[in-house]
Amino acid sequence: MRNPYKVDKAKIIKKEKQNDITYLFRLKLSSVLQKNFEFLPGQFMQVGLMGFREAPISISSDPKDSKKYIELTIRGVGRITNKLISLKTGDEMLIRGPFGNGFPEVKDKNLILIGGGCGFVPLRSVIEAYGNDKKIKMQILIGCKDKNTLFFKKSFNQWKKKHDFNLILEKGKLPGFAKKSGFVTDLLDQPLLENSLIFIVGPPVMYKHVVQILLQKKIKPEDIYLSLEKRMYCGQGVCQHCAIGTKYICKDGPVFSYRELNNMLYSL
Amino acid sequence: MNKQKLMKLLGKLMEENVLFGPTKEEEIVIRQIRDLKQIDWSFQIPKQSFKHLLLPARERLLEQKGAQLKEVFDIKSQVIFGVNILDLQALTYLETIFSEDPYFQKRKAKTIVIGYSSGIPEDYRKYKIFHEKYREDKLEHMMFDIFIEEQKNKNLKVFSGSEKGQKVLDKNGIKDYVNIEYAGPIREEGPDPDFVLKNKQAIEKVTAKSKVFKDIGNICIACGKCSLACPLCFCFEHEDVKDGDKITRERRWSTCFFPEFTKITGGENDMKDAAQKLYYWYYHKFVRMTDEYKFPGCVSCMRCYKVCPAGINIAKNLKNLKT
Repeated sequence: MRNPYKVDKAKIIKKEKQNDITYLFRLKLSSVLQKNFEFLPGQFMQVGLMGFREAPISISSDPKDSKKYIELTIRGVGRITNKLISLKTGDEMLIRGPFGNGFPEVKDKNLILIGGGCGFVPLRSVIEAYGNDKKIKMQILIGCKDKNTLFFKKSFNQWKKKHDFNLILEKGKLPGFAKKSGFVTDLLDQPLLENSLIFIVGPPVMYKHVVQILLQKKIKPEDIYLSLEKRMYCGQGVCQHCAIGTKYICKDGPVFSYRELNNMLYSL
Repeated sequence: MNKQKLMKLLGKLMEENVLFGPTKEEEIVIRQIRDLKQIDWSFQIPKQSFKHLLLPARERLLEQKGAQLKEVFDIKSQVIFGVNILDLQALTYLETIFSEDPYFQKRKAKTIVIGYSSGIPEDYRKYKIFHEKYREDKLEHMMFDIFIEEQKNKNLKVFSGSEKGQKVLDKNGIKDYVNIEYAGPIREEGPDPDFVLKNKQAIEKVTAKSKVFKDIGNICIACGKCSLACPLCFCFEHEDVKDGDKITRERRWSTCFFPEFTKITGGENDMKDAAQKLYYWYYHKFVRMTDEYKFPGCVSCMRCYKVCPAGINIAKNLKNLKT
């Protein structure tokens, strides 16, 4: 019987600072594990160290690179994540996963990605996965506090060239990208790509407002997908910490369509 | 079989295994039995359930010493004697919930479960409205190795419920037993409509803001005793423990009444008051579990009521929700 609590060592082969508290880590798994590793954008890993427990971290790399490495964006906001961001290239993290369902596969549809703050982490994986697919048009809408809390800045130029890329900051501007200040909801004033699936990742307070606007724009609840977050331990749908309604974020989520959430009477 | 033969069997099993059973202290509790005279033969529902013997309150999962990291299984051969029908039902459900958990399953493989019935438990009669119907085919849906039924003439009728149980009986020269084939935790006809489905519907149609939950929320102190005493509360968390150069990852019982149960970094917490916690607890037991496993997270043992400092009575609350 497989032991779901067994952890594997993953070596940090690259560490890239994103902002004061956020780092992008490229991890190399053990050769057997890496060779067979597969994931879908939106899935997450349980990442930890002995003595510090684990934290769920979304994968932010291209699934096509999964046989070579995975990338995790970690923001130091608690005991475990602060310890993880202090690690250096060559150090090891302990990982389990991937967990969860991930975002639905995109076929014959366009994509609108809406991210708030650190919520953008799993959406990077979506952009990388579909970025070169000529049949899929992508509209990217990111809202962030200020220019000091942004991440993936290096990719902005490329994303702007390839996609309809929009950034807004609560405070200040970013020349070439964020022309005005405001919230991510302000970016929804513009015409949205038609025939699209909409993937939203951000803090719960953002979901409520964004979904409300999307519904007003007559977007169908089944085309809106949100990634949820809750405390979790097992990743197997047993420990009960991440339950919502009759489902588990770790196993049935973290991605749910707004239709599903509505059926579960889950209020945003 | 008679009691003398049963004592002889237990004595034999004690030689090679740790034996646990009901014993009377101030109340009836489950303890390691070192002398068969310790066993309480009233078979009333003990204060604790038997869950800690298959799902310990703390257990080691992983251990790191220097560069070496390994899985740890602290498992000893054990015999659990005197499990009443309600607790047997609860162990059966737990076994299904933890069917893919190697720690639980390895422990269960090393455990001989001996159920005992001296008739329907006293409490079971008392809370008649609340419990699931007692059916003749009940044993087919119970996970046990040996089951002993005390008959009116004090003779003991013996059943075996597994290959392991048969082996033990055969090895000890007990020939007069009936084999029961385990047919899964629920009957073919599906869950008990009165107990399982009606309670599910009753909870689904209300929220934490309803009168029943508001009222009990006002008196609940969120101490979590109910969930610790419950034979079917199994939620847990992980904790890393440092001891010199050794670090151990442990799995520990948790309870949804604790303040940090659903809290995430950054402070989001969607269970803010006792009414919400109670609703979450009832919802898990009667809606989510029924949805997931087709059985509820309650065997109507009433331990939650007996330990509750605020006197919150689950049977009464479910009745109120249904009227």
